[in-house]
Amino acid sequence: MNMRDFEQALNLTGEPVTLKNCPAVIPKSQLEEVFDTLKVLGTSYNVIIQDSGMDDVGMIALIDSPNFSCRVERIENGGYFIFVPLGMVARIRVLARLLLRYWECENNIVIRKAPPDRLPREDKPVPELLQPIFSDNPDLNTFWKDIYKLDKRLKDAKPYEEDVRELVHLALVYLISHEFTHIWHRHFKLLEQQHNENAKLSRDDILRGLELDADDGAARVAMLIMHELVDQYHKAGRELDLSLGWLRFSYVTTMIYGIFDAQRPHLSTYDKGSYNHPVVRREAFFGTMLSCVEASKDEKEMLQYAEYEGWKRCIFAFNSITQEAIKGMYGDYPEGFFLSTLEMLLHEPPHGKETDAEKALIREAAILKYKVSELIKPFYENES
Amino acid sequence: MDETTKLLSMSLDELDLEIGDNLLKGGFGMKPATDAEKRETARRWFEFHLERIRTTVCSNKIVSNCLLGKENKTRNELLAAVVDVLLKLGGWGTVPVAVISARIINYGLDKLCTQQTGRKS
Repeated sequence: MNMRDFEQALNLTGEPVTLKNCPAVIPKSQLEEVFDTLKVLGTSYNVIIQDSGMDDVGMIALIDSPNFSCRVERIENGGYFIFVPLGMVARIRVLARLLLRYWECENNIVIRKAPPDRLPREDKPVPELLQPIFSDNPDLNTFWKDIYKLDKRLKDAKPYEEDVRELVHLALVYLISHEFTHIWHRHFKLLEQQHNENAKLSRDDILRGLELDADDGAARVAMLIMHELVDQYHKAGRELDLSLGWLRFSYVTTMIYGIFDAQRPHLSTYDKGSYNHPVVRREAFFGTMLSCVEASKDEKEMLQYAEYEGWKRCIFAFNSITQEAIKGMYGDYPEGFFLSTLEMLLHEPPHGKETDAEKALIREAAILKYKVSELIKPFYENES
Repeated sequence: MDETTKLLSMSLDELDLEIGDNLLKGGFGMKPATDAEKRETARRWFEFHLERIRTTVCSNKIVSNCLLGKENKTRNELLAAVVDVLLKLGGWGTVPVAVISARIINYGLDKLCTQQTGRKS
């Protein structure tokens, strides 16, 4: 892989965002909070990097880009660059405002099963107003105008503004920490080595395992940050409601996968490729988070219940949006039958327990993650 | 269809997709990069390198003679000339030089070599 310097990497991704060039859809106060989150994350990552015996210097940059995906690159002369597109922040914020309108009045409606084949995502069935959020290929020239148009249509969500900002914060923690883990856990070094040696695992399996490991790392970083917050609250003589944090985290990860994987195919269609089915990924993520909490069995059960609630409420809210879309509230709904991105948001609500098929996939993912972590171990040992 | 003809028949979107795919592979992300992301990355990369490309390609004799009307060259021959220039210059990382060259031909050699720009390389 070709390494770039900071300037080259920035030139590929876009200009850094400032308060002056921020699009109207993101209030300045929200943007300031985003910068605060990035600072907190940067500080935490520096500590983690030093504690790991590494000396990589990193940069997290908020980029004026309408894209959704965060990316990480290694920089020549040591270091890493995580770029966070403003388009991600905008989508999370507007989707949160869209979904939270249904808080306490979500509908549980009859749903269809997901298709067994991984169908190419179609953008045409997504009503015009929802395209900026759910389209994989939005019109980049009009993205900011389009998402602002949707945002203005929403009722004033002020009662939930604090929750919206918290969801944006948690989304950043999750997504950026996933990218950070690729550096922290030496994933780039492993890939370089595997390129030159006979691999014990196929490259596809390695990539898949690395993405699982990155989710695992994101969970650990999230818990580190949460522990620090708990300490701060204790010192101030206050108690932090972990259940609320858990519920919000669960709600936002469901939102993120609702954007990434709006057309939710069957479990088996994720057999190949670098990424597991979202159900497997979230199970692994929350499993790790729970393992990092020092709590009694009852307290852990409460957290699991909070996770279930967050997931369920978010899915029901998605289903409500789909109902609205079918009624034409976001633009004309195209005629004819087809499997649309939005209709595939009609997921089954979480049932509280995994099916046998999900359990098998989760077990398989855990084994693969373990195998990949064994491949990474020598890099830690060589550095010590 | 030979490789040269195939490259020259690719649309701007297809070429940018190819370039973006090469630029982004080897990196990590929360999910696979979308086609829109690949094309946007390619577009930025091309703009970033435009001045460097202009300086070297436009000073090539075959290209300049063709633009001045002193010689007639086919698109295939022009593509080959641009490939030679870029290969000698180097520094294109993981992006295949032939694809960059086709992208330049698609952009337009006349546009490249006569465009006024204040952009620094």
